[in-house]
Amino acid sequence: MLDLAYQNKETIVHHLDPRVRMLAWFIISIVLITWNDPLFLLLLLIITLGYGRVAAIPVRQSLRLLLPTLPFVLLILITNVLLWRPASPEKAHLLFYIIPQGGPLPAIPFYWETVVFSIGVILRIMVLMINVFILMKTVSPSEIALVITRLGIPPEIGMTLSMTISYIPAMIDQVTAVIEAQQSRAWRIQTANPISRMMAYMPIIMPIFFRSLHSTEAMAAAMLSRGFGYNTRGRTELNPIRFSRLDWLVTLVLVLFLATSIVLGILGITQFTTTLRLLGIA
Amino acid sequence: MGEETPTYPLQYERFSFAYGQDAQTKAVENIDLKLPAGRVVLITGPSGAGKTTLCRAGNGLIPQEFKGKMQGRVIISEKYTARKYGVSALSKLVGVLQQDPDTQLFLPTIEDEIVFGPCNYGLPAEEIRQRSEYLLQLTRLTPHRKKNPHNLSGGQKQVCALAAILAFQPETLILDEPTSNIDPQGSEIVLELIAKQAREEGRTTLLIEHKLEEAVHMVDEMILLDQGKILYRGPVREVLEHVEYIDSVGLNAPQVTLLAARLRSAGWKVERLPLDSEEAVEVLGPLIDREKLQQQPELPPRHKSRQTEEVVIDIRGLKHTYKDGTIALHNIDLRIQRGEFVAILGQNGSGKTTLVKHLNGLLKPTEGLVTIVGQDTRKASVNTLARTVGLIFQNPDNQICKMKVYDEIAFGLKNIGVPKEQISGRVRQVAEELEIVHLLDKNPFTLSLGEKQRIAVAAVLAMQPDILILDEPTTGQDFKRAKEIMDMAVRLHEAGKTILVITHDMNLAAEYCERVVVLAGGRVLLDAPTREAFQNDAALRESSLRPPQVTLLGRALGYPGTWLTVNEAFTTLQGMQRGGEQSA
Repeated sequence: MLDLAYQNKETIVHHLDPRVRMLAWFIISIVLITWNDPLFLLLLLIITLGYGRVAAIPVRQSLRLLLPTLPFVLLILITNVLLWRPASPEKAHLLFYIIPQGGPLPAIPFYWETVVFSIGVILRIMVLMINVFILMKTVSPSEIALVITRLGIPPEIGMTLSMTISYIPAMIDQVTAVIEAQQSRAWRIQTANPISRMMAYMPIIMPIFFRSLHSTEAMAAAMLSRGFGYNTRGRTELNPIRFSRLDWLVTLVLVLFLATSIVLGILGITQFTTTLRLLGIA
Repeated sequence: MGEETPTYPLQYERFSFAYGQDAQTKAVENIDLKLPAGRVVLITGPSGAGKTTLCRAGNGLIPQEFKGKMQGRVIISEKYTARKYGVSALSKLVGVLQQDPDTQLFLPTIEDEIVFGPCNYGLPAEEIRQRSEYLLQLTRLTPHRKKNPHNLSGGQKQVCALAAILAFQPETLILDEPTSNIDPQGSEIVLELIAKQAREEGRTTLLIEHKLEEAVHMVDEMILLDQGKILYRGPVREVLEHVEYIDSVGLNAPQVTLLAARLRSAGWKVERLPLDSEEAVEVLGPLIDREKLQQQPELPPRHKSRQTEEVVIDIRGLKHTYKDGTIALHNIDLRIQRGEFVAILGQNGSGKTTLVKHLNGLLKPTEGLVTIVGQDTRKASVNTLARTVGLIFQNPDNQICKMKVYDEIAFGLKNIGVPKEQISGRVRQVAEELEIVHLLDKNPFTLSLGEKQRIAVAAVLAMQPDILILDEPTTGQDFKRAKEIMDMAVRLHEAGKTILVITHDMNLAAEYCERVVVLAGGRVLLDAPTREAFQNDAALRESSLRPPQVTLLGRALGYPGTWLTVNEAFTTLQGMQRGGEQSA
């Protein structure tokens, strides 16, 4: 099992204001979207892994996280190859045809551009996953709730988010208990047909659904019984978050990084054509 | 100068409530109850008596969150009512702890849980810090402060939920069956904490509990609630005068109190009813002809007549290691013959559940061999084993998945491929056995917990397994329901089934089982016929299990045998009254 729980470590990253930690995640996510050149994305991957390393998350652990996403990555790769086409195919550099022209099936060409672009897509997914992983490991659910409240979003939303995250272990236990109870009544999945497979899962879904419904009611009562929503503004903050000099410094670096990446994006330098050019293809 | 007028932090005035639109069946009716400041009051009563309704009305959850028809009123701190104030405001004055710890813990760490309440009420940060440090120490949760509460044991969870309420120091505390979902060790920790809190901080406490043996010592006053009405109210001893009645409505009365009351009804001059076995020795001791008692023969062992030599469960050298490396079972050897009625006893975490999951193949041995009626569980699937071994889990909500009771019972039959034309017959047959024929067309989700439990049992029984395993049939149940389930197990046993009961309820094991297997730390500590097992103090102590009160009493009185139930003790003692012949 992958351990996605928050890790309370004494590192520089953990000493940063939770808002800065969330900003780091946010900026990496933005940059990720604006770039699609594999070289730059590789650089971003290294930066992200480095950031994680500083937060005491070993690089190997981050990379191991990617294993379960492999089927998903392959799926994206195949869709990419089949459906993605360069903006101007007439100028693109054809490698070969996967399905030749003139046959009964529609032709599928395979370009150099496809290769480079697809590598970019894979790198993007990798950075995306690792970035979320680092967020979960470095920002505790209660800090997320705190930051959200600070941003002026109703505390109920922050609370719901934080509750959802902390309820995961209990949820896993519940699902296991239901599956075991049904297995003991000889329930099993026998069919390969995806639709009947869905139906076959109903005996698992129904009890979980009804139990959740019931526990939501009890939980709401428990929260109210502990004063939730009594005086949202006058709530005591035990660890008031305040920006230190380091926080300002890191924020500045992050903003500069974002600005640079946007400028590079506008100039078209972070487009995948850069790598193509370097390879001497374009 | 003059006498202080007593204050009443919580008062119910002619309070009635009916859930939903159905104003006919009232959950509670015309309750008048004043809780004097600093008093600890126990409310007990069978399920459906209206205990939880009283709790919910205490901090305004009724009528604000649970809708229905309410009459009368509930006054908090002599001036506030739920008509004007919300639940979160009233809860500052009346803290309510619910039954199930899992639904009361919703924050990432234990620390977060404890400070959540006081932060909501805007208490000063320094005060919150001090209070939470104190509570962490008091509850011995300091080493776990950064853990997710859901990773704690049941007892620790409930203690954490309690600390989270004590953190904002409500004037009154209401506890709704705080120990019903946890094991004896956990219960002890929780009740101890409640008692300590009530004593040290003088907090007005309303404790709802059906484990009377433990609770009677910590309260000043006791109320017996039945069918929405207060039947008896007064000091504990006064209410326990009605112990025979309490027993008859299906409550778990302290065994020695019940025994003394029955002896008194039989003409003994019992001066007062004892509350525990030590007091019972003191009260009953002088009345008993000890010499005669010491010469009494040992009671015969529970009958073994139905047993054949066939071993249906054969466990050899079983070891189980979980993926995270924890060893749950070490080298278990156990053989169970057809027609036995066995209790598997142990605290939470002793390996009981891990062991039984091996019996229908849900878990496979890491080492060793488990053979069920000749089938090696490593090779047989759960699906196949389900025809031989019926595993009935504690919570029926984990398995009810159909919108009709009939389909629910037929579910397993379809899974094992019973021909269509036979299904209806088998469903009806099992429904008749369990007296649920009238429910067959109903939607199981809308039924009561007791009915759901019977449906869950029916659904397993319909598959006609030879071996039936009941996993913690009493947890989360009151005594009456637990007895119903066990009586059903007895009937099935008489019909030839092999029965295994996993439990931490010693009185239950003593009353029903022929043989006892005690697990602790993943090892078999003791495996013996029930009477013999309950004499083995060393093994029981090692597993932190306490024998029934009457067993302890018998030993203290010098009785050479072992009493397992009140009935046995009563029967033996009947002829033992000192000078009984003369006075008769």
